[in-house]
Amino acid sequence: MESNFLDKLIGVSFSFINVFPFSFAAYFVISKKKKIELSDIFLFCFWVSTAISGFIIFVMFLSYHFLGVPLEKTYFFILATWIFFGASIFFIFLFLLSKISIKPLIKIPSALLFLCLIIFILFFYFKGAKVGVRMNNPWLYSHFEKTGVYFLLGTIFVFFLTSLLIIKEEFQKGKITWQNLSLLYNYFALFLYGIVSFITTFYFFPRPIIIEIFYFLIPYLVYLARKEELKHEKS
Amino acid sequence: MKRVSIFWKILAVVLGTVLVSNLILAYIIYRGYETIISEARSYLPQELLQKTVVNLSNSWIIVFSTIIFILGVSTLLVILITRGILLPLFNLLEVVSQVKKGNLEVQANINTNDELQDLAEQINEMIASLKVAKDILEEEKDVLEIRVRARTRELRELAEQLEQMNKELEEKVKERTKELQKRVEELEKFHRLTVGRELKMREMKHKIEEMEKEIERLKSEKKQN
Repeated sequence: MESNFLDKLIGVSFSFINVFPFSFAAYFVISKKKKIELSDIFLFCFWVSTAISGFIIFVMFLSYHFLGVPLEKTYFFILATWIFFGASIFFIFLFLLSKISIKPLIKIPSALLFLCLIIFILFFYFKGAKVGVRMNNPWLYSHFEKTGVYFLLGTIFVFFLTSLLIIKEEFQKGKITWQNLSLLYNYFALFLYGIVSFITTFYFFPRPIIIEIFYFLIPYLVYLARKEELKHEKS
Repeated sequence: MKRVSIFWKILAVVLGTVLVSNLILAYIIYRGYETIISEARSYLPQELLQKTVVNLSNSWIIVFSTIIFILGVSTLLVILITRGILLPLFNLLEVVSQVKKGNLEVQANINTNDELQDLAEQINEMIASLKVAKDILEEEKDVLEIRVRARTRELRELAEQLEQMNKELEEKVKERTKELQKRVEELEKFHRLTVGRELKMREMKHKIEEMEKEIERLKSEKKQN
């Protein structure tokens, strides 16, 4: 299906604009922070990897739509995008693992196991995959796509439940209060990223711009979280 | 009955409404697509129709994820809005609790430009009136204390005077008692003396009478002789 100029422009410009919310979110996570904890590093790495993956998508769209790069060559861009996307999922897993109250002896093997699982999924996704066009943009068609989608669905569901559990624990510990909702804002930013990414990636219709606009709520939430933290530190 | 926070009540109402309305909307859209497909069944090629039906049957993922997304955003909005109500309420509760403990120096600082700010201003005015009333009461209490102290001093002085007088009286009574005792002793002595003489006088009188009788008898004997 031949895409018109407006579709291409929207695709390129929105993929470029989407880089900013994640970059700002990464900046706000560590800005003016005196003591950087391990969970902050994981969160920062998560936002950075999402920003990088967003930037690679922008470069891919730009080169494919406007610079005349052939479809086959976009394979490397797609590969890089999925690797950074996998890294972001791994970092978010590490972030949640650093927050949940379980023994460190269980944390390390589970992190390694999850990393292996991501590598396994990516490996089988790329094995025998063919580059094609989907919604006028380059896409990698693979027989493992359905399994990947279910894996992603399961991961989002598990992450969502884990986040709820952590929120409950931190609420009971008094780390989340009505005076300090910093952590809650961070979890909401992650939730928004997860759900909006899922909807925009696996939508069956052209890019849902209305939902993508909600990406801009992410840096605002991370900024609010940092502001609350600073206010709490001062008081 | 267990207390339920305003937040949970609002969240339940909002999420319930959002969920029900979204499900109704999704059902209406699904029914609409189904009707269109059944209408177009005779016009569209079989392959395209099959693809559309598959897409439609897969649409539950989109519906489900979009509903979760909307629920998440609604929860965030409820948290932000409820927080705007709850934080001033917590502030007011703290102020009222301080007032209950007797601290009238507290002030509710709420700048929300709504009914909560009105309430905070009313509470501040109430605290100010309570403070004025308390000051007046304390002033009155001070005056009363001064009066009571003065009266107490007067009473103490009076008591001291009375004690002094009592002592003087006791001393006088003792002196008088001594004097009286002396008098009694003197009277006793006198009494003893006077009673002894009278007894002797009586004896003498008796003897005189006997002697007179003897004399009379002797006189009469003499006459007879």
